[in-house]
Amino acid sequence: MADALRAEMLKLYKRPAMRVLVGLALVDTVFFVYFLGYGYYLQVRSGVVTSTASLPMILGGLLTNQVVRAVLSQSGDFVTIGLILGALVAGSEYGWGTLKTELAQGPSRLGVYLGQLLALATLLIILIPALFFLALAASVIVGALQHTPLTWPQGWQIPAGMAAAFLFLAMPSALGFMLTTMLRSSALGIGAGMAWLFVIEQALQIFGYGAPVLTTIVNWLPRANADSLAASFGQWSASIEVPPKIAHGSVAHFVAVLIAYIIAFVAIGALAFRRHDVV
Amino acid sequence: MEADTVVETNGLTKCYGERLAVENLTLNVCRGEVYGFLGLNGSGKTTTMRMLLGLIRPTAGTALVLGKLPGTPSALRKIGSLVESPTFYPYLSGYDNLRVIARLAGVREAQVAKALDQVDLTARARDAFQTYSLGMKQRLGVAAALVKNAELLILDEPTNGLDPQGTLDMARLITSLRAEGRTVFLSSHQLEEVEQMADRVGVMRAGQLIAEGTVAELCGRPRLLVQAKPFEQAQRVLESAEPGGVTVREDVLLVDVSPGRAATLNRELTLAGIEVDALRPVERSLQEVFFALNEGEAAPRG
Repeated sequence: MADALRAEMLKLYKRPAMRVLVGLALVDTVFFVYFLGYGYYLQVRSGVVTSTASLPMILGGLLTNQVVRAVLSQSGDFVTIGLILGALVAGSEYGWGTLKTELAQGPSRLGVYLGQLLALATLLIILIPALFFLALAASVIVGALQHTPLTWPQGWQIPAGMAAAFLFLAMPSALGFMLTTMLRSSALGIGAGMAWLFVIEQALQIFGYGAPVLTTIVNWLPRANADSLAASFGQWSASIEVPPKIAHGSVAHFVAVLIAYIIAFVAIGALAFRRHDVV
Repeated sequence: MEADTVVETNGLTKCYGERLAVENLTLNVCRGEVYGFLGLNGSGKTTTMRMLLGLIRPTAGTALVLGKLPGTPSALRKIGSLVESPTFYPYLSGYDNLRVIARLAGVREAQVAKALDQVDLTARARDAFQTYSLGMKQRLGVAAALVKNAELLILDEPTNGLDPQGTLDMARLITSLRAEGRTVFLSSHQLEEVEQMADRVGVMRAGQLIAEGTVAELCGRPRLLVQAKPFEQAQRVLESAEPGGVTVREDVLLVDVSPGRAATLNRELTLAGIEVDALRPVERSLQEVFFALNEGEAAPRG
């Protein structure tokens, strides 16, 4: 597995598509939260647009002590990026026909599979602190521009926020990886994953409001628990739209459900991968 | 499995649904030999090679490669392979593609430069794979098989896409691999090269091994070539002398008898008033044997 991990890291490091996706993830929060949020603040202040939220509220959401909520407000984008990351890592091997090249070299099938997953996890572990660092830097700049004193988030918030961000990215990555492995195509994996996370789950959430059975189901859905975990970090603020809490339960429930999904997706994908004929 | 047997299959069978791609294949490849695995497209060669590498699972039968089940990591680390068209990461250079393979195989990356040099690809090693010509891709595929310093090389049409010089270089490379004591299980449509290189040959047809042996065994004893006038009368005389042993090939007659019968046949032709222009022994080429074995075969099966 260590050999497969080293090989996969080289492929990920050199792959242009990965650089684009990581770049998108890194600029996502800075652009959508800080750049557009600060622009909105300036427009409200100058009277170009009106807002129900007060100016201090809008600005407050952009300052350093709100950085965790700022990053987690993008959980929907993380789900999309994670899904594409997972699907690309697994699916391109089918598209290029390189799976046979990999499997003929020596590592076991499970070794190749876990090597790819560990490389993906390593990428996320590097990406997430970078993402928080950039958000923090953006919030420091906003504070400096408005001459507000620096106030840092509570000590536990940043590591907890990073762990939550890891789950937001890891869950859809594992889903994309599993779907692509089963369907043997990146496009199909991304399409099926998008359909599940953004259409079927959405529909279940809408109809679930009136039906107790559906509400119970929603409590155990991956996207609903990811959004609920994001929402558990704070209330909605004027400039930061934290996704509404959808699933009912504690933070421990949301985390446990997401971890269970990650393990299930990895296990199902591994079973499918071991059985494949590579033609 | 005997100590000097590197590949051993017993009743190996692969079905795709109701389609039988390989049927009851039993063969042995011995250590240090070049085994030419021949057959028309779709005859089951590539499917067999995939099974030997553990890429696909047989429907029935067994196989041992280097004494292990196909796909076993310890066996795969001693096998260099090129199966069908070479597949690599298009955005990586040839050099980096081989680095990926070296890492997967757990061998030192220093082997990469040596393998690239063996296939004469060093000059373009830093260019992206997607910019390579068909022949360069093929050579990189062979280099990938060489990175591991493998005991067994499974090469599926390694000369595909190569120019005449490349084909000649590949034949030399395979010969040198044999000289180093490595075993080569080779599929190729370049029958002349196979005839020169292979110690033994197996011919697949419609998923079955229909002939196997050394080139000399397959080609059989030499035949007599006869050129004579009048042609039809000569044919009648020879058919009456060797019933069922005469084949018409354009303007010559091939008689399937020992060359020692040449004097007798010459006398009979002369006594019948036939003018004999030529009468000499000819050896059958592997190509002739191959076409004869595959006569009437048209539909690919897998």
